[in-house]
Amino acid sequence: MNIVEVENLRVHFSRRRGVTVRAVDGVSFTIAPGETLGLAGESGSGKSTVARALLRITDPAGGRVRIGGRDIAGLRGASLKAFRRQMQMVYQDPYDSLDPRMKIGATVEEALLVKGVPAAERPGRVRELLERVGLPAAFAVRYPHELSGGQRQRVSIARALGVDPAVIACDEAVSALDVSVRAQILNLLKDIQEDSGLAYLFISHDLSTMRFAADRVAIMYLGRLVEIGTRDQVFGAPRHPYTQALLAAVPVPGASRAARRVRLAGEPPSPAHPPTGCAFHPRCPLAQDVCRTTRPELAVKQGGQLAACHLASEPAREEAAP
Amino acid sequence: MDALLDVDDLVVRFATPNGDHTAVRGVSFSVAAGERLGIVGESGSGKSVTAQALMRLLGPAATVEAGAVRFEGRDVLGFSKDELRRWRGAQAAMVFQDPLSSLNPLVRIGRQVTETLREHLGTDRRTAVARAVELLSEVGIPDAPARLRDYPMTFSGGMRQRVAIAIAASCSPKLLIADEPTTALDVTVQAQVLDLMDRMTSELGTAVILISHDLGVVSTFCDRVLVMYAGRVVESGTIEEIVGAPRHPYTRALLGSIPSMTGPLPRRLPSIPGSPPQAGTRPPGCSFASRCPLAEDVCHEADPPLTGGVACHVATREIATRDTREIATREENGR
Repeated sequence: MNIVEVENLRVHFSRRRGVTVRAVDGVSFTIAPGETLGLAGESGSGKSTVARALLRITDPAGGRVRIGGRDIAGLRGASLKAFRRQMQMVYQDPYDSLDPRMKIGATVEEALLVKGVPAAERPGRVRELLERVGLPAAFAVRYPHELSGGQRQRVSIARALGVDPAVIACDEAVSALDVSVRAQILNLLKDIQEDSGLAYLFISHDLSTMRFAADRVAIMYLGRLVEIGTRDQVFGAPRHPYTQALLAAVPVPGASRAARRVRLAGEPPSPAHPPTGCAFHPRCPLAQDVCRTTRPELAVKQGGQLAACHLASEPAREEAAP
Repeated sequence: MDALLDVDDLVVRFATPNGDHTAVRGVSFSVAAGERLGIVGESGSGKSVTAQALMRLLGPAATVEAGAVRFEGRDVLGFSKDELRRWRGAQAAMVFQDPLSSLNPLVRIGRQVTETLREHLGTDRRTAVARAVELLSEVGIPDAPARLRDYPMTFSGGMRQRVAIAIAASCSPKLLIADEPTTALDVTVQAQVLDLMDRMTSELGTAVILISHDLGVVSTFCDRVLVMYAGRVVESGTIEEIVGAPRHPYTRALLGSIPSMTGPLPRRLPSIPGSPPQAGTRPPGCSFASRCPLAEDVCHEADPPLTGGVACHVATREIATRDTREIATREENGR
């Protein structure tokens, strides 16, 4: 059974003069235990808003989110608290999410308190958690400013693990780290997953990181998923022109100057004024009349993944068979 | 060919409450006219401080010492305030990661572009406005005449960086220093901005120093690269040499820790233990030694000099051994 089930999730923000911004506009996906779903897209695509809705930091305007089989809409008081023990978040900048006046040990202990671990057991558990994320137990008495960026991110992970969650949303969790440190944290996240069967929602704009971290990948554009499939489907043979352009734009070490070609002009339009039809059509090199008028829905395409594009080829017959 | 910019043994120290901290420790390089040099490094490598020292942008807390920083043979560190004002913007321009740090948020875009033209080229107001429209259109700002009256905040991040580049290009500088110019931008916009810098350099013959943590970005833009670590250049070479056949263990590890976009992936990424050294304490010997898989006793004792493009005891010895072997083989074959 899936640990995360998201169905037609919509999140709206009201702006002045009655303008409603559809930050997330009908997004559906599932995550199985032990699985990592990558959510990629450019700034403003709504990927962080999806995570916030899953944690009930933002209330959805519609759709359904089930975590561990439970609909999280309408949870209050004790049941909301219980739900938050199932799902945790690790943010981009651990310096913002760690209390600078609190020692590392106390920060991690707070999570144990939330989980209801008896006082006598807590110091031992704090030590275990720190060791599990690769920090010496002696770090418990240090303050965040005494730690490097990578070490602080390890503390955030230890704190998230403290409540023994089933799902962790990593929102650009390695993006601010130095390249040489990023690999350590990515490996750590994988080790923890293999040990515990945790599910991750892994949000990143960095596609090479995404390719390493995710089992399945969803690409977001202007509040909607435009493509979702296994890592090999999406990276190996992307079907949506936006995914194709996005992957082509990633500068790879060793690629020559000639390899860098601008496939996409302009920038994503404002979600307050989305284009008609396919939201990508004003930037799409392939756009035809139908793209300007009719919004394409996600459908199975050649290769097996889902893509929302009128022009992407349908699967060959043998692929369509179950 | 004479170098446009010649940097010899640049040293930058910062006075801190805990004593002096040396951020840049003897960096030397030169840039030819029209050349594109990349400087790659992580946080604390000294790459940005190097750039700011060259542009004379560091405050009084910094002490800059160098054998020489020469721009077309003139001593940049000896420039008077007046000379500096005439040189910056006109001869050498800089673009930052956050364009808001080079654009004044309270001044309309049009005025910021025309100001540079009038100051450095003595252009009259009307011509400057016309030229500003041209410049903004060239960098892809739609509806440029109308946008002259807008403030920086009303532009997207990508558009602001275009404006910053337009201003940098306005006086056809001979040198552009771009410090992480695309780091804050989305990947599709990043490609557009790099293209814009391409055009600027090929049309104006501007030399570029591109500073970045991203070996991919540097790879698709630069001719030559310096890899910096803990305030020093640890490896230098053409982009093909650095990416295709890195010799310094740090460069190798850095490249190895970037997940590839094609082909099979390892279960675990090769990673470098620990983190880059931060300001302050620095042990004797090679700064990378404590993280280096190849480190030997000598690495903890003596800081290796940059010889033949690499600052590493082990790599230098390997190269020497290989060369001796090659010579021996050649002699044998010759016999």
